Amino acid sequence: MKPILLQGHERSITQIKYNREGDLLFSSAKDKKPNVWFSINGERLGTYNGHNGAVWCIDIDWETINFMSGSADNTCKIWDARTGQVKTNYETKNPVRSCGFSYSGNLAMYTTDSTLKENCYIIVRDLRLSEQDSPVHLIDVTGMKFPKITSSIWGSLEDTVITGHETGEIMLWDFRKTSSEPNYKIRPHTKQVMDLQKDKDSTCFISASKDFNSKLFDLENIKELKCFKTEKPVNSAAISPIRDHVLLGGGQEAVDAALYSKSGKFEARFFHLIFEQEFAKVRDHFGPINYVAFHPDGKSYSSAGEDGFVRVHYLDQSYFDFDIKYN
Amino acid sequence: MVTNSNRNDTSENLPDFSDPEDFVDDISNEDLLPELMQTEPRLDRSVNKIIIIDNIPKVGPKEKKERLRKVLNNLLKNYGKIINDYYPEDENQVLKGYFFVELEDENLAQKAVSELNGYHLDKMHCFKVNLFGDIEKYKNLVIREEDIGEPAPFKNQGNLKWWLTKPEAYDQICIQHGENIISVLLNTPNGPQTLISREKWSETRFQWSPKGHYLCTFHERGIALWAREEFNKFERFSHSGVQLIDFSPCENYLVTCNPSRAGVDDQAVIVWCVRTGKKKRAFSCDRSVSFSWPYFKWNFDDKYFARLGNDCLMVYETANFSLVEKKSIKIPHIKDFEWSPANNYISYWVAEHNNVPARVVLIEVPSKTEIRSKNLVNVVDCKMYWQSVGDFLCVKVERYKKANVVKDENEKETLRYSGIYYNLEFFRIREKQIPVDSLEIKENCYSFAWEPNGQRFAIISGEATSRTTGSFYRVASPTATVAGKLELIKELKNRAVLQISWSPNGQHCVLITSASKQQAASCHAEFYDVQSNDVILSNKIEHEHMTDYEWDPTGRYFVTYVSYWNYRLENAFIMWNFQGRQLQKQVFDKLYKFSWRPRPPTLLSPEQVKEIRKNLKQYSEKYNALDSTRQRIVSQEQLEKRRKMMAEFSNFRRIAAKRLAEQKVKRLELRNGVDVESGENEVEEIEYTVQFLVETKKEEVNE
Repeated sequence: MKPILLQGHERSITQIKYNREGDLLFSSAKDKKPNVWFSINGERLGTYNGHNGAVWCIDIDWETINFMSGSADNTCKIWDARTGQVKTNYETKNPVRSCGFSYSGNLAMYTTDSTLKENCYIIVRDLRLSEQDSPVHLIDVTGMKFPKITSSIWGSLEDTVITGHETGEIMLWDFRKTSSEPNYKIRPHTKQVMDLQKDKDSTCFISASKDFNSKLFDLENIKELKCFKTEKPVNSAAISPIRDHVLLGGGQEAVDAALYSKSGKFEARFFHLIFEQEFAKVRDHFGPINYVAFHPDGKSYSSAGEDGFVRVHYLDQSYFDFDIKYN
Repeated sequence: MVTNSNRNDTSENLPDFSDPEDFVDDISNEDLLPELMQTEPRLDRSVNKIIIIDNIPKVGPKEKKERLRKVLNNLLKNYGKIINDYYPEDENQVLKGYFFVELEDENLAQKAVSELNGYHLDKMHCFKVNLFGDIEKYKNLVIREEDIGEPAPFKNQGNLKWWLTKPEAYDQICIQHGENIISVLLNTPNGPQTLISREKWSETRFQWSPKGHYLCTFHERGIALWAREEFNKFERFSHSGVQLIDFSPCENYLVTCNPSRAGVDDQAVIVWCVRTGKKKRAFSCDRSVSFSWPYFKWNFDDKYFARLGNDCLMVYETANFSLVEKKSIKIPHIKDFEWSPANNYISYWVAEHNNVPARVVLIEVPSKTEIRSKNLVNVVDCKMYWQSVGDFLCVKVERYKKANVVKDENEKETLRYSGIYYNLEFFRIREKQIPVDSLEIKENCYSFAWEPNGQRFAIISGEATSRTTGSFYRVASPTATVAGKLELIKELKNRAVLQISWSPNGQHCVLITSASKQQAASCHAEFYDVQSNDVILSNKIEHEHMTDYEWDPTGRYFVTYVSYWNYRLENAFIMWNFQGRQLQKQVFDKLYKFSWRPRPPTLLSPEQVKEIRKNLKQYSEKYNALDSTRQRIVSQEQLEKRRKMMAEFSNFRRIAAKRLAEQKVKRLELRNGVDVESGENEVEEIEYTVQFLVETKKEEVNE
């Protein structure tokens, strides 16, 4: 089926996220305005105006009340999802690279880039407190000599946070522990971890890395479960909520792509979650795919690219009929 | 003593220098005045300046002797002044066939011995030259029993053809990938299986020998050959800084080259014996001709090797590793040459010069007799293509309509050609007097390739690289009534192909757009089945960013791959069957090089091959049965593997589910008692209308 093209951004897309019901799709780009769309027909519902730099990350809470965005303008903002008004504005000293709401939606976690002057931090705020109150948790990552965080998610419930790093490390931080060291620390990738996404039940999560691989981990102890190999950098990976499938998006970096590739050849690839086999691909983007997300009902997915477009794909019947035989 | 006393008279204080009465002179003159004594004249008894030259003509008449002496003196004039010569005669005043010469310098005598030994005065007389002193030395040579020693113990070379004697006879593939890992894979029906894999096996790259017996690896110190089933070291050839290698066609000799030492010393190019590992001869790279690799071109049976010199052709023989008949073949303005792959023929061409037309010449080696030649005019360049069994020679002649002399900024005159067109000249070697046919091509001619072992060939021509024509021709054999000629089989117009790759067994041919080192907009290949009077497209395939391609030695598979050396992403190889159907794709983290292991030619006689072809049906039945059994086993294995993976993952899911159940209370608490999983206590659904754009129409409204 022909995908719905969402043309609302002027620059490359950085993240897209569905709300829990899946009726809305939020998107952020290197331009300053995150957008919200109806996922059913691709109509734009509104924009969130207020940032003064590229927006690197967004998240929406489970009730679609609060919307969060982190930007290169050194702020992380909490918005009223319905009205587009800024509720809270957290100032940081560095660009905000990744962010996320906790299970209850009461806690907001965000991470900042490290620069020559400033360190990379994990910061957790309680939305029930005021803007001036100090963070609930503050971890100085650079201070512990760890490389910069490039992606992050909440772990199980509200107690842990999982971070992906610039040189391929993945760490699990437990706030119940008194020590500030990460609880688990592994290096499953050799290059930057581009994206981390959880499955529907929060039992496992998938990583995407520039080292051409994507891996599945146990959310509780970041034990590696599966590995999906490709021959291109993987920018994003999502787990289907209904089938044992994963979806990878990526492609060579924009610089290389401009040099070597012809248009329309960037593909989203489907792998079997358990057998690690590739079984389908969708080619339509004109640039590398920066982010992929499954609709919560598993019947459609969206991909967002360096080309500045978001494409909403409804999956054909043949996709649902397909199965890999195993007995 | 009287004189002394007289001097004492003149000066009272001078001491007395005279020897005492009982003085004995115990210091020799040599000790006292070594410099002076060196120059003392001595009788020269050394015989090292005398050489004996054997095998001169045995002539009798006086004037003939004089003439011979003149000739011989002329030959020796490069070695200094002749002090003395002596020609022994028998009782009839006929020369005994050898003579003695005394030269003025020992070093020059040495030089004369090494250079004149083996010199052909004429067909009958080949010199044997020795130092006179050596005769004495060899005469007294006593060979003692203990000097001979034990013969070297027999060294078992192992089975170098082991991979062909396996019942499955899977072809082997060598690949270089990852962080400098070289792996040898078996091409089994179920995909490649790693046979052996070594890290840093080679410092730069690897290469198979032409018949596949050895795998060569490159190192700073030299070349190593690996063979046998264990791939253990067969031989080492130490040549520091080696960068280029070339095998003789029968793998008897290996030529190694360190181009950075070209012209610097005489160890730039070395020829080795592969079996013994011994250095046969080293060459300093000749800088008078432009360097190209291979430096030497070998004849078909390793007997001769040759290279282009300055206005000459230098043909060496492996019997003694020196020039055939001790001299190069003088050919003014020679540009290039090629050996026939089946006979000791050399084809070469000479450029136009001073209104003398260019010539393509075919000579026999070592007799140097000219078999055939053809004059050509208006020639820019020639390329020679021998058919694989030496039945035909095609010379691609690049010709011009006009040549203008152009002066560049340095007032140097160069020729600029215009109206370039091509002529293909076909020499039918096996026919009487070697008839030549020509074919004219008005456009640019990009590629030419003979069908291996066949009579057909393919040409790619066209005005631009984006619009080319692929043509297939046949060289028809002459019959009793009709002379042989060229027949067009089919022309394929409007292609974008540029390169030709014939299957090693002929009949199947792949035309490729350009597996260039640069990225191509779309890299595709067309598989053709070339029949006796038609050319049928089997399939057209595409492999993005493909940089290289190679047929397997049996002509069953065609592999296209993306090499990391040329393109840094999507390094993978795809194996196609001979009809262009994709069989498998293997993705690598950096794939540098892919190379099939060559197979030596079959040992079966043509009759046996014919017999097998006749009974092909029986064989195919047998092998099909084998294949299907194997396939069944594989799918069984595959299923088993998947079942196992599924079981493992189900196990993880059980544990995760248990964990989820334990957290349920806490989860409910966090979301104020709303159970999102079951949908209980959920907020009432909000209804809203959405609009879909069904169609857009543009209508002009008339007022």
